[in-house]
Amino acid sequence: MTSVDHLLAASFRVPENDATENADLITVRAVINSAIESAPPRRRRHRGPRPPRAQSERHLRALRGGRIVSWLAVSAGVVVSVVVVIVALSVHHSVPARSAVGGAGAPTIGQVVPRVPKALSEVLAADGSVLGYIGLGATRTVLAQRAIPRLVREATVAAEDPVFWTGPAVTSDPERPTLTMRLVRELYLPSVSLAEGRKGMEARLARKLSALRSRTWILDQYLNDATYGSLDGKTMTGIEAASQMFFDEPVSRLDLAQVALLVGLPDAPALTDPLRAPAAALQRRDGVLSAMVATGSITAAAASSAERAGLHVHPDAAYPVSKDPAVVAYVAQQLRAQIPAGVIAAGGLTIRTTIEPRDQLEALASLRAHEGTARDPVAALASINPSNGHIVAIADNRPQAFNYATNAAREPGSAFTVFALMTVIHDQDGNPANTFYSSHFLAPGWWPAYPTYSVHTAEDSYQGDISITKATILSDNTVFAQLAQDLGMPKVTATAHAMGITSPLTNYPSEVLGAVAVSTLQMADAYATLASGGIHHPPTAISKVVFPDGSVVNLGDQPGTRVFSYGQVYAADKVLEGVITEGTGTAADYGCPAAGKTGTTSDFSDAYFDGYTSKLATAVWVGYPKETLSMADGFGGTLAAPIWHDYMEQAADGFCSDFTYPTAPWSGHAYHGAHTVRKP
Amino acid sequence: MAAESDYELIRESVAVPARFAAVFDRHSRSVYRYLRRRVGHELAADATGEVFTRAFRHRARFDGRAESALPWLLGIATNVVRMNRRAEERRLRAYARAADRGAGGELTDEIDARVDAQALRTVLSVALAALPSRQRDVLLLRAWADLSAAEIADALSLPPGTVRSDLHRARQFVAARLGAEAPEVMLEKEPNL
Repeated sequence: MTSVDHLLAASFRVPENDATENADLITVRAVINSAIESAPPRRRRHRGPRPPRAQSERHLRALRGGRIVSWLAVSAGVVVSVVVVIVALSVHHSVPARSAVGGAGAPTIGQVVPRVPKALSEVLAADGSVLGYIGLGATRTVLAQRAIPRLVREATVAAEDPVFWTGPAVTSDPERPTLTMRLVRELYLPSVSLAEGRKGMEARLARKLSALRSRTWILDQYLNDATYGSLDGKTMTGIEAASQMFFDEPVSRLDLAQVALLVGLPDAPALTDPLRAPAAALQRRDGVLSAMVATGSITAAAASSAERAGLHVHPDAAYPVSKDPAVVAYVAQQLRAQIPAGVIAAGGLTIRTTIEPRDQLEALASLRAHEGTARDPVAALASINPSNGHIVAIADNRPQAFNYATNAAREPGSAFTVFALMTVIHDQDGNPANTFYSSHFLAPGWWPAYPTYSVHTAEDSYQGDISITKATILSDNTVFAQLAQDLGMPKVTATAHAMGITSPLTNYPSEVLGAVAVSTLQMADAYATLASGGIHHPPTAISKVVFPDGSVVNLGDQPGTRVFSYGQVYAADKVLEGVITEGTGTAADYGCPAAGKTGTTSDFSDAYFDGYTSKLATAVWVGYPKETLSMADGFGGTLAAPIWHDYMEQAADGFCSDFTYPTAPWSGHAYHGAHTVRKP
Repeated sequence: MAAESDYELIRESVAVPARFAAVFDRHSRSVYRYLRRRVGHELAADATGEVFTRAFRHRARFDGRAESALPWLLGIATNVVRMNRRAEERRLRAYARAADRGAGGELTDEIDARVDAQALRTVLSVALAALPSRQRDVLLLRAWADLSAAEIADALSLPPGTVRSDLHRARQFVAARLGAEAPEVMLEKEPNL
């Protein structure tokens, strides 16, 4: 009967680690963080006696090791002295769970919550240069009522809610919420109950707020609390922070064009970001100017003269910008897996990464040279030093902080067949050059347990009886499908995991042909196991973390695990060299000894090239974010291999040697399985 | 760094709220994936946020009877789903209709080899929509979130015996629907390779 469970699990699969999941979890984490940050220290209402403070600190220290905690204690002392008090709407803490359904669970207004400005953490490249910053806090400078220029008030009212002073606090037009509703949204909305419904909650809170407070108070609060944009994970809260950020000036010194630009931002901060979307920002600014003319705040002449001004944004150096937000995002993600969240949140860390700036720049240049426009597919690259698992470059051709190389899980196609190749060598002592299979279309029914499973090659051409070596070079899926059945999929899965694949695998037959979702980084890691001569090192982007008290945690010296003998790997090197010299990956040939494998999916939605020298392992993936879109000429050898070529040519840094001949050579013997054929 | 148990983390988070972030990092993916199956990708993020917001608000109530906080979180998730029960049932039926027409929906199509997966999903969707809601909760916590009967009992505050009988009935119900409407569907486990 448990087969019902099994069918349910198998029939309603959702993608794992895909872009939607990752983006959603980042959003949700931000929501939870804000709930955590705005939680006041809890009153003593929990059951059972609370341990005395000193004891609880000792407890913490025992749990986490002394160094970090001793610093936490210090920072707690500092924090008290720099509290900025703001007024916010906050969750009522004694709400019973069920009452959230009805009106009783509505939050109360007017609770005073301390907000603590957080220190930034610095992310450094391997050479010590600054890559970017991790900081959870928002930059926010509160303006007193009299410090807010009249023009800013008028512009905001004109742009967002022309009838703000006289109209109702709540409208039913979802396109044009009132300023009161917008304020409620900024301050409260993230934690509103799903069942409650945002709209109802927003309207009720807006009415309450409007009854409690003057319109001037609401407007000023909005100007101090609205989100004007974010840069590098730092949110600019309030117009003063935005003014400092974009113009390096207090808002009181801005001219009409500058004010109109800032005032227009909260409506869609990301879409009208003046640094990333200048054209849209300009259009939005001019829209605000026309709205100001419409309300009579400025004359048409003043508006048209302001419209002639450029954007003139120049970020203040005091608001640091990450050179590479995707790298910083991945480093932050890795950090969270290894350092307690509270320590990261408090900030002040120095994180030394393994990223080599020159390799990183080469990676970006190679990706953009081939897939350079916004209409092109996404292209991502991950490059690993095989001797220690250090990630020297992780890049993609998109400007967002989402890191495609580490977080997009896509099908590697026949780049995955390398795991069958290594399984026959390692588990069966089978020599790929002496083991032969018949290359032919495998019609449905060839694998009786999977009656609809058929296999063809990407080019639909078949070679007759060929060796595994030849099948690798020509990327013949039909041979590998049969080999995998002979070896047993669990063996192939075990090899894949041992070499660095961390995505879950189910031993389903088409997995050997790459019908699995893996990141570019995982593929680079797996091929690095070959590049190192058979030793797998867990990949890392962080070499060490320095805490504010000067103590250091070293994360860069992960011990390796031997997976294959060097002789076995050398045999694979020779096979995979053929892919580049005479096979599907000739576009990767940059004139030096290297080994690799192309990957092409059946619908041309993903193209991979994964390869290595004995000094560097690199994987390249190309594909549209939407996984169902096919690419023109979407072969791994045509789309991914040229990027790999350009990158490796530079990153090899003059290294151009053959794979070293093993002192204990391995030769194996012909492997015999149910589908093998005699030597032709 | 020694890993702290969920109970230790949550207990500390009562005094130091920031500690709760680690609980989120530990379990958010599992909760999200469960909810993505149950409420669909449009609502999964909101629902996950709701689960952790509630869990955070009521963190002092976590009693640490179970080693992992996941059953507790999935119990909260079940309550969140219950508030959208009608929406879920509508969705399952709409899904069944869409699957009939051959649309893949948001659920990933495996490579064409899955045992007639499309037809199966249609039948399963209809069966799930028709199940009494508690049985559906119990069955899906088992099948989609991989909780044991004891963990489900803990998550839903039900006696273990009730969970076991619910599970049994739910499976029988679904199997009967499968037998009646899709005789060609194989009910054996996938063959071992």
